[in-house]
Amino acid sequence: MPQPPPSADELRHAAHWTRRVRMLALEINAGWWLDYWLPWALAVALGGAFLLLWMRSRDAAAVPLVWWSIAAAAAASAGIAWLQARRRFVSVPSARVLLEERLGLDARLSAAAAGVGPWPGRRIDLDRRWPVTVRWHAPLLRAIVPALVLAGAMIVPVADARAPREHAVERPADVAAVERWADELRQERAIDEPSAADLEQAMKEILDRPREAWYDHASLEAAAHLRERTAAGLAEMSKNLAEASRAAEALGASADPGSRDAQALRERLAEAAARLAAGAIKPAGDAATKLGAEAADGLGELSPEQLAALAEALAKNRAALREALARAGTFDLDALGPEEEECEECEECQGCEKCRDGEPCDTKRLCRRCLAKRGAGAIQRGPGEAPMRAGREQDLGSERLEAVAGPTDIERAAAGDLLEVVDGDPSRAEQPAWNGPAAGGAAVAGEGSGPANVDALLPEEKQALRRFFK
Amino acid sequence: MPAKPLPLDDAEARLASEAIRRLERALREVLFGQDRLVELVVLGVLARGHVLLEGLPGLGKTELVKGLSRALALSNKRVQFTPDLLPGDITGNPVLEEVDGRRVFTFQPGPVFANVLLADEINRASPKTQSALLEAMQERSVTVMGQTHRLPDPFVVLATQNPIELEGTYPLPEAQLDRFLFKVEVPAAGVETLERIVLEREIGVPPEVAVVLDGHGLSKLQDQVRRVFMPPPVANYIARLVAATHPGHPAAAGVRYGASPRAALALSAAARARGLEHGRINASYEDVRDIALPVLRHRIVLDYGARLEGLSPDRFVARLLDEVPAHDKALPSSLSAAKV
Repeated sequence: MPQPPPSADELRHAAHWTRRVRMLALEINAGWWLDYWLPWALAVALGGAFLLLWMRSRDAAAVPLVWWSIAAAAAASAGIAWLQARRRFVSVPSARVLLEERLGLDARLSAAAAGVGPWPGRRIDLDRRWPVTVRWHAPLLRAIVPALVLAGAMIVPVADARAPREHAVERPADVAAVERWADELRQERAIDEPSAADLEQAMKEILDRPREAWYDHASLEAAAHLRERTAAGLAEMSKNLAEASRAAEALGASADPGSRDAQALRERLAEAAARLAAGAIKPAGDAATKLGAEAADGLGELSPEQLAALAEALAKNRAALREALARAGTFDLDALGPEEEECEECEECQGCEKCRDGEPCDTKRLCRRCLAKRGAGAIQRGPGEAPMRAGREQDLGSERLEAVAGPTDIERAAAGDLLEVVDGDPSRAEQPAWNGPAAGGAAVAGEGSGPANVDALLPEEKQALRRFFK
Repeated sequence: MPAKPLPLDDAEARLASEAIRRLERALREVLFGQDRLVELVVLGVLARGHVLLEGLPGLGKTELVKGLSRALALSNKRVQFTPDLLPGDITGNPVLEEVDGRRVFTFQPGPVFANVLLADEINRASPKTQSALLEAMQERSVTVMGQTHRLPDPFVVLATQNPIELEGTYPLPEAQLDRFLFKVEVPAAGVETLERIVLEREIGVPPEVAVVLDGHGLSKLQDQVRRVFMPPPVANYIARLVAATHPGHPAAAGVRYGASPRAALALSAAARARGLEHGRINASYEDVRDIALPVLRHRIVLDYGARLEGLSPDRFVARLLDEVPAHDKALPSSLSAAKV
């Protein structure tokens, strides 16, 4: 039986539903494509952002090329995503099933598409809800992130990678400190030029190493040793200058050049001059040169005026040394000895026999050295020169000593400072290992640090030995 | 391949729907408060199927069968199945008769030769007797002593079984269960229904039923059911539903044996009948969903573990309908399906 031709209404309905079904299929398939493409887009954006940053740091003119590359990668990834998403795509009949099921059309669309029965009226579609709801949040967020990544890559400030880069490496603190000392000392002419050159050479040897090696263990050890050695040399020079200055001044003031006191002062001056000449760091200036020359001649031809001038020059040299190191700021000025210029009354007591002998002085204001000699206390008396005994390193014997000069730093003591190893019969000391303090305090024979008979050692002494020779 | 029947037009479908509604209304006057039962029995008859009713005694199953036959002006027979019932008691027996001076066997038709056969408590008969119904139900014919006798058309078996007092019964084998289009559980009547029964019924007085259709009308309706269009997507949905009942399918956890292809045919026929009942020229997904439970519940064999966990065929079918949607394609994350 021939079918009657469809009416205009039926044709409109058919076109409407066909369009709606295709739209639904397109919507679903686009969603699938988006699901597959957005991860690719994020990957492309991350790669593109990296390229943008890199290119901006290298060649800003090539940034448009990167954008074209990103666009090409995005297009390629869109194609890949389409290939991946194809297996999830829905066909038109499948979309029709979803549409008619969700709209409650009782499979009328499928029947009509198969040529059975009329198409439903369009009103049904308009009166009911569209079968799928778009959830924009997740895809929108996933689309915004790549855009933000790319925008960020263009906004973030980037340094020009082609500009030369200087990696400032600070000099080791010890080298810098010695450098400052040397600069200040040279500026004040406190040390002679060869000594300053030696310091510079030592620093140069450290600094000539690659910068990357400045902070390795060996370099830091060398720098620390240089600093200690320099500080010790400067302290020694300062003490010798002070000793020489005092001796010269006292000698000049001596009434009888032939007396025993004058002879003793002459010897002290000669010894100080010898130590200055033999020191690792030597003072600059004519006074030291003249002192060295006169010491070689026996100091016999210097007049009292010349001795006073020499004493003053040596004192000035010492003052310059102190001032320079004070300006450097990193030197322990106490190591230089007392600052005698601060002691106004010390002029009176420097020649005082009591003061020299370490006895209390009658002057009202004394320098710290004099005060220390009087047992009136000082800021830093140090560990003293108490005889050390193996195993009793902490017992400094300070309860027996009010004042000590030239303390031995237990922290930095070498094994030989505390113990002595000798050849021969270990049960007998051939000579005293230590003769007690050179000046001041109670003289102790120091038998505790003599040669040790290992068999006779106490347990704590054996432990001390093990620690030292470990 | 049989010729494809011409699809219905809307006017035919509308008239058929009205006739079906009339029949249902008439049966609802017989059996109060059992609208779903009435609907399924009518759909089963329209789909040329047989219906297995399971329920306690006294719920009106026999009255329903009688009412159906009266409303359709069809012959009906009732057989009370007992353990000593023989196959010949159902199909009929050859009787030795003297004809023209010769003694010949003459076939004496049994109760199966009726339009509507009520097989009461079918599970009480022996398997041999039960199997005698197999040919009748499937082939709509009976073979006795090598002679095949056609059953009247239409032919519908409405069998009942009692879920209690199972001692001395013979549970129907799967093959025989499969021949029933629907297995319908007859629920107990509620208070309102009971009140109406008390008010409007008397013991020993059968309810009056108006004749709604005759045999010819019923046959025409059955033909129209065959002409209801089965859209390919709906057929695909039926196929996916049946396939999903088989072990190995993700939705078929706990199933030992799934539904047979006959179940797919049953779904199709019942969906068509329901489509016509609703005046449509095509079956729909909703039709399939609506009749899936009575079609599938007796065709699913659950394993022991699933039964221990409390899974029943009804619950399984409900789960199946949830897990196998009409539209089997997933949606992208940017879209969500709107509520129906």
